[in-house]
Amino acid sequence: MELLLREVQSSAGVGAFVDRELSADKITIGCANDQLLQLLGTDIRAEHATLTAAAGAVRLKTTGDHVEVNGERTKSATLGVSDTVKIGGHVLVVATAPAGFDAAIEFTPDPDVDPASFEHAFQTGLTDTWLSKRVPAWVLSVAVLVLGMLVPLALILDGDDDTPDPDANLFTDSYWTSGPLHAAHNVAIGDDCGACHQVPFQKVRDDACLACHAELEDHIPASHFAAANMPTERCAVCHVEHNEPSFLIVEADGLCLDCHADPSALANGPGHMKPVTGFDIENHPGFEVALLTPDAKPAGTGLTFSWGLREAVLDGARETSNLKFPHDLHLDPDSVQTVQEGRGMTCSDCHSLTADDEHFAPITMEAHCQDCHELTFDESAPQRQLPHGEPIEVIQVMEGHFARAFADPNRRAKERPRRRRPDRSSASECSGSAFACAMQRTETEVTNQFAVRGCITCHEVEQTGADDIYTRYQVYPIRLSRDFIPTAIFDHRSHLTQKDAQGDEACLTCHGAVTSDTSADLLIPGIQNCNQCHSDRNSADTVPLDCINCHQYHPMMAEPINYLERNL
Amino acid sequence: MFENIFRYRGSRYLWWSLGLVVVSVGLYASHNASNPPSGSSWQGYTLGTVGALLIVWLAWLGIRKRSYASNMGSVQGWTSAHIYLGTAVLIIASLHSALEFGWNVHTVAYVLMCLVIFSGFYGLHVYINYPHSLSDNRIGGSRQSLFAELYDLNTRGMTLVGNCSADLQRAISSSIERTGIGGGVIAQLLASDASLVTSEAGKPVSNKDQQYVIDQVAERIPKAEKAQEVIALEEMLSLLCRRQTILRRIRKDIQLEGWLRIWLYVHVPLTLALIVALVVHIIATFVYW
Repeated sequence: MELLLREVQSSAGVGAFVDRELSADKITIGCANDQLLQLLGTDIRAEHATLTAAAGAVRLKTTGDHVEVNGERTKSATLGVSDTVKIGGHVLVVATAPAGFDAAIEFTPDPDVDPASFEHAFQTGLTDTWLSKRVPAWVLSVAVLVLGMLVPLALILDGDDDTPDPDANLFTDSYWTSGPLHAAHNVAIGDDCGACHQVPFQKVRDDACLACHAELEDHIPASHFAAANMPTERCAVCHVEHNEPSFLIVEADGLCLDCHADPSALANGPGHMKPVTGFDIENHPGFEVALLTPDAKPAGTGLTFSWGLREAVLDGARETSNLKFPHDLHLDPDSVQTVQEGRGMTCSDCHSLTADDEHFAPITMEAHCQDCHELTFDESAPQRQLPHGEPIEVIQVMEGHFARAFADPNRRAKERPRRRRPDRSSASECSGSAFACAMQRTETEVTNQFAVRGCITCHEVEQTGADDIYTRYQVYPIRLSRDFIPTAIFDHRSHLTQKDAQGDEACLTCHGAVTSDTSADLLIPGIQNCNQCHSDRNSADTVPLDCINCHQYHPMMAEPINYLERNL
Repeated sequence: MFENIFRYRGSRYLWWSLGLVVVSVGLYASHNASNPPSGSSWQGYTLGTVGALLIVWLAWLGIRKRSYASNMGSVQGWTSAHIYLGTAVLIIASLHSALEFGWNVHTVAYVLMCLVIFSGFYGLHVYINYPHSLSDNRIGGSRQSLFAELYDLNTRGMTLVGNCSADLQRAISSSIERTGIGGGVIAQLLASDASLVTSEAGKPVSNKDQQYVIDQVAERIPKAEKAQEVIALEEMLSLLCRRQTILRRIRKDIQLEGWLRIWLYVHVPLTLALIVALVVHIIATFVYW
């Protein structure tokens, strides 16, 4: 359109006109430089309005506010002659178009406008851009609330499906975990938080633990807890989950010492229990051992045996295994050598660790003694050995052997000239019947075995004085203790390698076998021996020990002595 | 101004915050083997409670210190407290977390808190460094005075341009009309100049830093045949160069103001998200106690 623009410039009260001819399809009005009619003012946008020719009239369209046509706010209008348009403080009055023009406008600029408001032609601040604080604040807050709380909460309250859908990663209560589960729990429970956290806003209850760990023994029988009025702690006090890195058991002495530092302080507490405050002879009770005790009762012409257990203080405790065995002699290479290799004996010749690294395989006559201690009884038949175990059978074997020896003419003729010793002459020169001679020889040998140098070398033998040869001697049964301190844990294998000792030397640093001349010696070292290397605190020259390095809170058996008795 | 923030009342809030941190570290150090460090030890709960209260209070402070009409303490005082205690809360919350992190709502709260605090550190950095550059750039004036001068130069330029040849007229008037200032977020922050000019061929070409049009006018001066033309061209050249200087200052001003405020677009929304995450964290903790 062709527009005649007459600008009314009033300075010092004198009116002046400046006419401009604007020719364009669209007359642009705004505060930007490139607008055909540039208006300044804080209310004026860069592109505020447009004028177009429309069938003899002028069409006004605005993009900004603050536009009034004849005093009324509007967004668009068709203007006729003498219509007044106010944009901000600027006034445009439509005049009659002279020839050659589509329209004419008389324009009076806002006299109060400051050139400084020219800034509004541009986007000069971050607030003019798309940036917003409110929108991201809402989006982030709602996202956190929905994904972090509402979804997991809905899943919990729904509660029908305990098995989380592995594909639905976005919708899970696993976001609430405060750390990884222990690997075993992770396998068994996985993402099922409700397996342990059964009631919202309640700490994990023991029931949840016992649902799986039903077989676990409590620290002491529940009745003891009640009788002693002792406090029972939740499982989760010692077993803390969701740690990083994952661990399940708080290995702290404090947890034990809370009660054991002063057991008498517990109402109706166990009176016999001694206080523990550390791991040395002042702060820890001396070791106590479970001793097997034989009980021999007269029965008929002999004795019957039973075994019992009693607890005893280690200091001065003596073992009654009924075995005669001097460790010192066996470990002296000048006195005893192995049959095969002719070397001195080592501990491991008899003591072999079992898979638990704590206990040793049982020692038997057949496996450990018989290589040296053959049970020969007739020098003229060195291959013949007595059976080990049943005394009556032993005597019967001898009877059979000698009966044959005396009754067999060939054997007697062959052997007699070769094997004759003065002390045995009576046997070989027996003049009675073969049976009588055999019985006489047997009797001599039975005395020899049970009372002079056979069985009696290792066994305790009771002479009953009976005429009957079968009941004349009673051999005491042997029972070796498998574990003198059944309530404690000790890793023998790790102790086989020490700073300055390995193998036998390592064994002998703790077990005084070299100087022990009787099997009554326990050879279990006391607490001072442990203290040579271990203490209850961190220091450069000792290896620290916690209570549970040796003790178990959940014992393998509820009452160790009873357990051992059951398994005698 | 920043000296007042840091040394407000003998650095009162610095000492408060240091005290708080020392107590928190002591509390953390009191963990032992039977009570290993974690958010759920009694020390952890204490540190968490203190941290959460501090976060809420700091957020409230952020609002409070902006209302200048308040009678409650000075702006400097609130800002000083906001900075020192905000830094302290980073350490307190880290101790509360025992530095155990994972893909969970608890870590979300921690990460949001770190983002809020570190964006705050950036804000502190610009508040310390930029106001100087800003006033240096305005040479004692204001942005309005720069724009007023620009408008004046534009108006004079459009008047003077009548004395020039037709092609220069087109170049100069189009350079004035198509001068770019500010713009979008990136343009403001980088002070990029999208100014254009209509070339002799009638096409818009870049007039970055007004250099194109200045070169055009400068080239004409030696070629001018009349002394009058030389005077007119020199007047125009000096005007365009002054305009170039003003435009540089305006862009620098917009840029500095932009950096001075952009961090708030991170700091404020994340603070609100943090408070929501904090509530979620606390509820989640106690639902699954």
